[in-house]
Amino acid sequence: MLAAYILKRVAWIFFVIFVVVTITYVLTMVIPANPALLWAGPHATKEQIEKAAKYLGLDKPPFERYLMYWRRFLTGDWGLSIHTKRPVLADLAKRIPATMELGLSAMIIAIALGVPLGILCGVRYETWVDHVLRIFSLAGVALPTFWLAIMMQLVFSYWLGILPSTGRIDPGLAPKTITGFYIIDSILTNNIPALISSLKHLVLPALALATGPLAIIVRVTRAAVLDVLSREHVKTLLVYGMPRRVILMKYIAKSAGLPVVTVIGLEFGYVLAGDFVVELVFDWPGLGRYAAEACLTLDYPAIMGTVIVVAIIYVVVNTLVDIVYAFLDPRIRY
Amino acid sequence: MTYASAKLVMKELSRARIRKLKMELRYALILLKRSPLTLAGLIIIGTLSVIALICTIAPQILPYPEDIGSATHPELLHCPPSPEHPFGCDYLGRDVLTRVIYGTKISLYAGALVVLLGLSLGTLIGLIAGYVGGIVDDVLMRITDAFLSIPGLVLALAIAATLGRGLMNAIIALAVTWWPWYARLVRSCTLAVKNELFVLAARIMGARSIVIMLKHILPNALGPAIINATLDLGFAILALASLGFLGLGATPPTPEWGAMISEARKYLPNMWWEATFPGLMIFLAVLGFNLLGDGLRDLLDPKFRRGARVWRI
Repeated sequence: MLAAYILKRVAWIFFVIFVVVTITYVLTMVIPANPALLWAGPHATKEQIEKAAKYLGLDKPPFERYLMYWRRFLTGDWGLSIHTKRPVLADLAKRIPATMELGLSAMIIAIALGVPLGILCGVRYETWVDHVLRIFSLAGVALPTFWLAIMMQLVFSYWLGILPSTGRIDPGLAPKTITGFYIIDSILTNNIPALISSLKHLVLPALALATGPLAIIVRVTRAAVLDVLSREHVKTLLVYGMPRRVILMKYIAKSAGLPVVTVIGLEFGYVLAGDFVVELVFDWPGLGRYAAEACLTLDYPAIMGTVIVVAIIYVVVNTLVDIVYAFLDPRIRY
Repeated sequence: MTYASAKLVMKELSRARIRKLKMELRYALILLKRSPLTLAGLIIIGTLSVIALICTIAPQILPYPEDIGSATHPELLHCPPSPEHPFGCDYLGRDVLTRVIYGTKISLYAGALVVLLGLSLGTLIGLIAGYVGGIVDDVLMRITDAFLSIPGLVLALAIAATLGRGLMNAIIALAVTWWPWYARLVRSCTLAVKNELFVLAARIMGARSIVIMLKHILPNALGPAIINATLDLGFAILALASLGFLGLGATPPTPEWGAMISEARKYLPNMWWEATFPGLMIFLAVLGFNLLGDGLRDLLDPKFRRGARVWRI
């Protein structure tokens, strides 16, 4: 049964990729008046536009063009970035580790802080702890990520001067590339200065990126804990004289954890979207800054490439979360 | 029944209706008093709506109405907050307070338009999927699910980039990614209503499908979607500001909050006021809608009305 479920979910990934590529095809070829103009960028010369028209196959019938688009997508020929003048796919591949490092750190912060705080909120229901944390979590969802990033940069790096304002590591300190994750690489190569420098650079962007998901996780956990706390079996345990700590750790934390797993997939989408602006603000050399700069300069091939990659990452992560959830909760499989 | 007595009955009925309305209002007030956060949301949104209205009717009563556009005051370039300009001036010497206030109108209208367009598209798709059923339902719902499997803001970026810079294009781009939730909601409501007796009666009497869909099912299936759409306004405003920040929304000199922050970023860290105040306004507007939305959701959800029993541990 589980195998069938996993198969179904993996098939879904392919369907979503099909839809995404088709959407980008429609956006590139069908909607604009002259696709070549868009593809060649705002300051293109006449030859560049002609070259783009030839690349896109504008002289061919639509269906053939669609097949051509697919062939290009599958062979990794995603066009040249107008801004960097390099193939988009190579640009993207180079930037994925930086984004993953930032995104995963933000997710870890959000979960590691959010779940305990949410449980605290639920257990101290309608006390001042609950009220304060609730107000914070309501505010956290409403804060525009890009503005929060700018404000953190302003306060902590420019005014207080305790953390670096931009970049991923101090110049000249980058560790030898093994995984592309600076933290892991510097631990593997036993490079303490690089580790400290990369951690220092990571703190602000990761916190800015984690705030929204953190707020949502606190809310979801709180609701889940309240749901468990209103069930009769908790009352039974209390009446039997079960120590409160055991009830909390064994019965509440466990059942409150499941809904949190389901929102992790959603959170990841939140992080990916916030990543665009946070990387732009902190000059973080990842996918997000690449896409954000592409938006600001209307670098069309780069925008489309990033959209496809981000959508694929998102759907793969969500499918993994679903499969993990099916392992945890057997009801899902049937 | 004579005409006079019929009139009397009508009068009595309308009186009863008013009484009921009054009672409901009083009930809502009691609930509002019990939930200060909802009240705070209501006050914030009320104030912002009044500001937006004033900016529509009489923008000339703003402190420096000419600063809404691209006026330039070389003597005031980047002047810090002062009594005459409480939020300071920007890189053209324009009063930030005036622009931030006028931005309320732009963000509120644009957010409402996003939600409205998304709701229309979602309703159309959900209604057709739910009513027609079969393979049409399957295809439409798979497409809806596929849209839900793609991060919305990222897709909106691609669409906005294709359509080109401009507020209206950003609104369209967001609306195109906004509809799937409403489509699912309207579809499930349509399925619930579809087999009611009054729909069957209409069909037996030979009403055409389109009439049944629009006249009998739509009014009954739209309610939850409208409520949800209203509560989503905060997120629509936030998404629009993000697009504006990335240069895909309103173009200068439009005083849109996100675009203002994007322009002000170049002058950080020294001219902090130019980026700080538009961001605070975004925060305030989104917070207001979220507080109000949360409160309303609780009010409309009968589970919360009674107040959940929670065992203290």
